[in-house]
Amino acid sequence: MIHLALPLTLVAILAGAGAYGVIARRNAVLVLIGVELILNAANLLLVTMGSVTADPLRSGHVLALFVITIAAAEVGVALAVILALFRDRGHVDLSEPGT
Amino acid sequence: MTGLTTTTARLVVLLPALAALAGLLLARRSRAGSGVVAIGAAPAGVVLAVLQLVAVHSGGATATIGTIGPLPLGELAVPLHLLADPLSAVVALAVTVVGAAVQGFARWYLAEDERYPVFAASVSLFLAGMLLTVQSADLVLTLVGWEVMGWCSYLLIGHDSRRASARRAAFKAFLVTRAADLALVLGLVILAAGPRTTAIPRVIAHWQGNHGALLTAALVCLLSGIAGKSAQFPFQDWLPDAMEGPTPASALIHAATMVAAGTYVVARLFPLFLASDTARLVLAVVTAVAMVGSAVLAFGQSDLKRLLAWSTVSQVAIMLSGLAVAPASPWPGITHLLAHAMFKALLFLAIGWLSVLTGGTTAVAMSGGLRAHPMLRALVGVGLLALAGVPPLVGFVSKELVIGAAEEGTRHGPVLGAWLVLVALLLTVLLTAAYCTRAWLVLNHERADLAPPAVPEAGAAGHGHAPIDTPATLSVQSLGVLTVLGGILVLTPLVGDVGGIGWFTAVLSLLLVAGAFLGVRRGATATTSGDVAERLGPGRTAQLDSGLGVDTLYVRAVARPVTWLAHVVVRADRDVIDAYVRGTAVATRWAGLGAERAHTRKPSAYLVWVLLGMLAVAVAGVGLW
Repeated sequence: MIHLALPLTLVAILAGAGAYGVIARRNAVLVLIGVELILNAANLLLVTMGSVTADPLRSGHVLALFVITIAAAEVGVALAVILALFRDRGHVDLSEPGT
Repeated sequence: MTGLTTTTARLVVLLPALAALAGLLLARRSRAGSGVVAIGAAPAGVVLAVLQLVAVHSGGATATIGTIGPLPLGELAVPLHLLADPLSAVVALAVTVVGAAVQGFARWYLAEDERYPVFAASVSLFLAGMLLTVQSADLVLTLVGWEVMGWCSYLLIGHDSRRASARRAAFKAFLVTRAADLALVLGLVILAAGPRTTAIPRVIAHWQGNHGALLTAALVCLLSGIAGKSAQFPFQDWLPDAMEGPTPASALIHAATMVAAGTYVVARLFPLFLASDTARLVLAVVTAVAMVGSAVLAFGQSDLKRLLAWSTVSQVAIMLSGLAVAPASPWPGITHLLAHAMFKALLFLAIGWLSVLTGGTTAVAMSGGLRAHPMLRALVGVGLLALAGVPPLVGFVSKELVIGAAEEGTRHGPVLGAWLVLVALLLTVLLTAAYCTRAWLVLNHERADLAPPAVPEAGAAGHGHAPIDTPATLSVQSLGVLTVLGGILVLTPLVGDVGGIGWFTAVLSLLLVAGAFLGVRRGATATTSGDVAERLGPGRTAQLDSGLGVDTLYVRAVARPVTWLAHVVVRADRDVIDAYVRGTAVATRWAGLGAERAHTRKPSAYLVWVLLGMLAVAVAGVGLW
């Protein structure tokens, strides 16, 4: 078993990178990637913590599976929104005010 | 004979209702067809009423004729029964006879009216309503018939709906009677609440043993509705305005249905009125005021049709006063109802006929109108003699019976009311004879300013109207015959205990009639149209024509406050209650606008806030854990 510091550091890096992407990026696709990074950070945290606790239901792992499933649907919807946005405006720059 | 009674009682009500339905369905397709239905159903109704009368007097009187079955109203029993007894049978006969005469006359009278089919159907429905009230053994059915009549009177008075005055008269009749009916419904509810049933025999049985303030209150409420329907003081003013309707409608409303309904309902509940002296005193005062006041008004009217209308108010007051003071029996009042149905229908139809020939109903237009028409002259003469109460016509007999009842009442019954009514009756006899003489002298005046009319025969056309046809003539003539011979009725067993005619009062009223006749004839000699009322002067005539300004009083005392109250309610609703509701919408819109202004439309800054918020929640969560 590896030390917990390594996965938790990875979680912090992933979440920080995701948050940075969401806040600082102007391109909607990159903002979405930022959201995905945060989600995966959360997943990694769930799996890490799930494997150190003696939970007979393995709820950490199960929750991670749930998040993956729902995130798949979320990405589909979000990409469709971005596509519609692109067709409407011709760009996906979020800093441009809407009409 | 109960089987025959049951069948005829049901059919008497059902037949005119079906005729009304058929007439309405035919109204747009076939004018002739609806005329045939109306004129065919009316004599059939008379036949049924005669059969009912025969059956009732062969021992078939019953009060439990089922209709559509009892209403399931929990503790309140509503059997919806009809009844057939001597009272209902003889009144139903009078109603159907007048209805048949009116239908026969109306087809000719309204020959040039494209809405005649609707009129005929309304008359049939009106008769159905009246006959339902007459035959009803249940307060609910009485009320249903009563309200059907109210609605039909609105339709008939407003028949000529292109004229604003006809529309106003119809609204007025409807609103005044409805306002009066509010109390009626309350009274019926009180009456039904005691015995927990609406069956009239059981209601009477229950309250006869329960004299008290509650019964008096119920009866006084009832009297309000009756005064409204029968155009008694203080609701009298709608009836003269109802002259805006076609003359056959006036004949129907005045003679047999609407105004007589009040009298009939009092007679039907007569045992209850016997139990409450207060209610009878109220009725006596109301009728005494109405009979004298409206006779005075009748004398001064410049329009002869309105003269007849005011005389109806006066005559209905005589019927009701008979019920108010008779010590034991409602029959004197009912006899006057029957007599009045005959001679007043005759007078109205004859005046309608004459108005077609002369082209108007004002005293000036009709002056001398009868001189060229001997048959019509005889008919109007008979009608006026009966109205004035000259023996041996039916009007004399019935009026003397009422006076006899009042005189007996001064000895045995409610003394105060009886004296009041007796004095009012004798005064009314004088005034009635006076206005009858006046009308007769006007109609027979020898006009120096006019050449004799171009059309000498009563049957000939006047003013482009088609010549009168046989059914119409027969209708008026048969009413004339009944008016002459109707006095025999009281000698038959068809009417109950009518009491007797006192010699003293009979001679006294004959002297009064003769005195009025001589006085009015003397007064009329020096006038231009033979009208003694000319001497009153135009100002006073206008005052009397407007019914002493009671209409204005209605408007000031009732209509304006109600309109004002309605305005206040509307304003309170719009400016106070709605203001809060609309205020939330306005406030939300302003808040939205403000928030929109404050928005930078750049997501990054707000997302930083979101992240900071999440951080704060996380820190708080960890710290508290």
